[in-house]
Amino acid sequence: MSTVMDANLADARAARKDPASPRAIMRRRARSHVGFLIGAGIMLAAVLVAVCAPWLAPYDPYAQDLSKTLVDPVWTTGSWDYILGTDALGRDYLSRLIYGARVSLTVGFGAAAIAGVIGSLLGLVGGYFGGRVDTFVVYVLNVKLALPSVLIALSLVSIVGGSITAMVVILGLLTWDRYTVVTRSVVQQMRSNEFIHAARAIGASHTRVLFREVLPNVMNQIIVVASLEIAIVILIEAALSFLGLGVQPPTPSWGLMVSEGRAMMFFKPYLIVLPGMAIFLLVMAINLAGDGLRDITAPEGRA
Amino acid sequence: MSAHSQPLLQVDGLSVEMDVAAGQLRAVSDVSFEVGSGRTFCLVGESGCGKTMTSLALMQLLPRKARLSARRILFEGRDLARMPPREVARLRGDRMGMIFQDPMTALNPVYTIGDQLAEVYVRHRRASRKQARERAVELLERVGIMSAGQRLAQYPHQLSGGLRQRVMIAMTLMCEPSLVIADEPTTALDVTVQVQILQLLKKLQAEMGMAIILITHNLGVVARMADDVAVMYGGRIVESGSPAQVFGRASHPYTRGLMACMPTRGEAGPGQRLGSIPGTVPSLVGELQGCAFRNRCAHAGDDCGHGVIAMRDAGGGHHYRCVLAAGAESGRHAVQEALQ
Amino acid sequence: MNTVSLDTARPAVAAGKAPVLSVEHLCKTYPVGGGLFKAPRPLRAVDDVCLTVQRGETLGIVGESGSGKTTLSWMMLGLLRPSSGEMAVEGRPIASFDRLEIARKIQPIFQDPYSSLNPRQTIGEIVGAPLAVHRVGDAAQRARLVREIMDKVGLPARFAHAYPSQMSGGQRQRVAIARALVLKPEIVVCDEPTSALDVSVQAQILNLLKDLRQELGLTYVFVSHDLGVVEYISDRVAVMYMGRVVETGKASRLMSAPRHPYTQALMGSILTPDPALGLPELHLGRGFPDPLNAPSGCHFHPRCPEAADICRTTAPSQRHDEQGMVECHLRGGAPAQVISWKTGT
Repeated sequence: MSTVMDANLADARAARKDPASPRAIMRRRARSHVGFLIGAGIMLAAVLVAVCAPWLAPYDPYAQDLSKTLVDPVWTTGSWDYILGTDALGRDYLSRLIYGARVSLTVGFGAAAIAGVIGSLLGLVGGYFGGRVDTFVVYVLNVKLALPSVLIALSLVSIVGGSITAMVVILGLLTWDRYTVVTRSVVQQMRSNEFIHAARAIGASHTRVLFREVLPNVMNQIIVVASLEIAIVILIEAALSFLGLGVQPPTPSWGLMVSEGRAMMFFKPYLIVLPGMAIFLLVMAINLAGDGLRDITAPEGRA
Repeated sequence: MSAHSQPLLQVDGLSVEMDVAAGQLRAVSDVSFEVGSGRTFCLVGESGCGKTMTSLALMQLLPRKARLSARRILFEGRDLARMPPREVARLRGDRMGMIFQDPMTALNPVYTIGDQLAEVYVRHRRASRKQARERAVELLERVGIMSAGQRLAQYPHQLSGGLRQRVMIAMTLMCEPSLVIADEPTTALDVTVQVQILQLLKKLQAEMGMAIILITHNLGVVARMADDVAVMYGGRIVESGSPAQVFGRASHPYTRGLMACMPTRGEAGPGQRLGSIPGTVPSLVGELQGCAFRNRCAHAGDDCGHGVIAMRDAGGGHHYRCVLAAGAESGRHAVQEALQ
Repeated sequence: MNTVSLDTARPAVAAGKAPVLSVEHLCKTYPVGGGLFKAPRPLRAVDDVCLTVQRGETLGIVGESGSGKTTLSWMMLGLLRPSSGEMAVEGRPIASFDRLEIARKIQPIFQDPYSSLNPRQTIGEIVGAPLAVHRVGDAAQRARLVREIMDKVGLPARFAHAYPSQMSGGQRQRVAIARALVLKPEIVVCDEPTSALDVSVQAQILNLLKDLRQELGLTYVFVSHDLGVVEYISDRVAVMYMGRVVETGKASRLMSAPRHPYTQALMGSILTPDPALGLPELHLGRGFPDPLNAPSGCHFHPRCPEAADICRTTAPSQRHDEQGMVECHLRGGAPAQVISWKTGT
């Protein structure tokens, strides 16, 4: 057929290199984005530390040695036995910091996962179906937005008792609204894209269209929102633990460590500076990575 | 229209380069043309040919990654290429105006028509709001909008596409520019409205004596509106002249191909095939050797692959950039047959 | 796993057989602008449209913005439910088909090559999606069918692993055509498939559509505002204005000798590349069609150069003759009954 020949002929003549696939373009962008690399690097390091805690930590974080309380870190008067010193109960600070990463990351990722699923589903369904379904989703969203999350978290924790599981579930149920807002508006914009109509015209059911056509296109935005929400959850957990209404002692949580070190703040500042810096570093890394992700996956416009 | 000793706009050697991931993209290469006062000059080509970039370059509205270079861009005797950006900004809206393609996105949806019209006048003529308002009403009536006073308080979304385009035209003319650049002004409109807008442009040109650079891909619009035509491909002008010359004796194979592509009235039938140009536009990144059209040209030869093909003179102001001989008298039928 | 065969023998076109697609008194009305205390006004996007399409022919539908042609095409595709009226495919009312069955019969090609393909799927996945949804064959058979149809539309096989963002507008539209045809449908509804493409690419795609129609025995409903394109590809043409069909007829006759004043204005507004002619004088009023405020009587009368008193008061009825149909007080012979193919009377 001559049109086939036409197209092939032109291809042969032009001998132009095929433009890069979207994945290759994203990889190239990622490699040159400094903020993303730093953020992702630190996050990866934190995850590795948390996973390898049993091998990395020199001591058991719960082991108390009352003869060695409040030893200074190695750069003041301390020794290499306890690199970062010990706390008021003689527990090695470095080990507690390392295990504390586990708490922060578990609560962060766990709550974000729960919130992400709830929020994205609501947003998907509301944005796609519109009409009464959307009115219902917006109503639920408005109710949620009107609730004071931290207060409710405090109340729930005081009823249920603090623990990592409680934090994950409660924070997961209280931080899903941003996912809904973002997903819903993205899906609404996508509704006018004709590939959605084409999928329906092929005979695909709404379920198939939602999960195989719409969701993959929203995933990028969801991940960006998730990365920023993880940071927020970690901060809330630290604050709640500091107040005594989050993770309970003796579990090593960075927020709890700050709270326990408060009394000796002026004599042994490292007791609050070290966990505080850990929180700061992790949250900053997550924010950098999230911003970087947004830049990398930014829509390219018409190719 | 009185003849001026010097044309209103003289573009000499305009080039626009952009930094892209793969290298240097030559969006516009060495474009030269002249526009006389009160005349309509059409830049015609398909997407990617560089016509929009050329118009943005004239107004110094290029994107940040683009670099302009030109031997001269003389507008009313002043060289735009050597002028500091602030002075060019002063000319924009005042001596030069631009009509964009999509009136919905070119008008700010949160301001009223009156506000947007007045803004141009207040800024450039330092007029009072009252004076600007009066001028706005005057111009709205001139572009044929009834009850202009009431329209001033309306928002863009309350108007139809044709009305919005008229408002755009009015906005461009607030300061009576001597040059109006219209980038695909009727592409987004219905065909019946398109005719009305084009008639309006012609009428205003006769009344106000401005020059129009009309950018389009629609050959019909070009034929009916232009005094001078330039066909662009791959960032260069490949053919230029009067419409009678360019359409009647199309000499560049791309021009001939374009004409053969158009469905002709009253000649279609089940057995007919449209002439088509095989292949796609080549990449404009990096150095281009020879003719940009040669990978799609049925007559390409060895001469076509070296250096820069020069413009040839086909007589009477008709130029084309090809090594082949000038086209003979050709209605579209002959062109279509030649391409079958 | 159900495997469905695509080799359905095509029924022979016999005289008196039901048209492959028929639309009767189809309406789509949207209630607009209602509030707590205000009743919403009706927006008649499609107003009492009756059309038939015979097997193997191409029906062109022309109209400008607000004419309802896109709404009509969407109802044909099952993407919109009509407010009233009936549609039938090969004599069977569309309501009796389920979602999958109707997809095997009618497929779309949309206008925007940039938004009609899922940017996160490869070409192979996009073209193969209909086969997957309808569970045709196994993976190997589907891959073969995808390769075959890609070859037919002129796409090299290696594009199966590429993404839409790597392809030009013309190539993407070929993908859309391949996706529409992979199920071997009877009817293809094309909604401005070439309007977003360059002229040279448009010609390639139109030629391709013509060749495929011949080779695969397709029936096209071709919606467009570009009259030259419609004339090139259509056998018959229906002209729509403000939701109603105002004229139908053979493409060549309608273009050269239009009868309805609106069709005449449309034809007059085509600008051929003929420098000797100036701009045409259309004699159309300034108004624009506002479906929310439909004029009384004939919807076109505020802009019609020939409007008479009766045009302002009474809606015209359709007049049928051997040339086609025209809905105007001032044209055609005595108004005739609408001939229903169902009853033949």
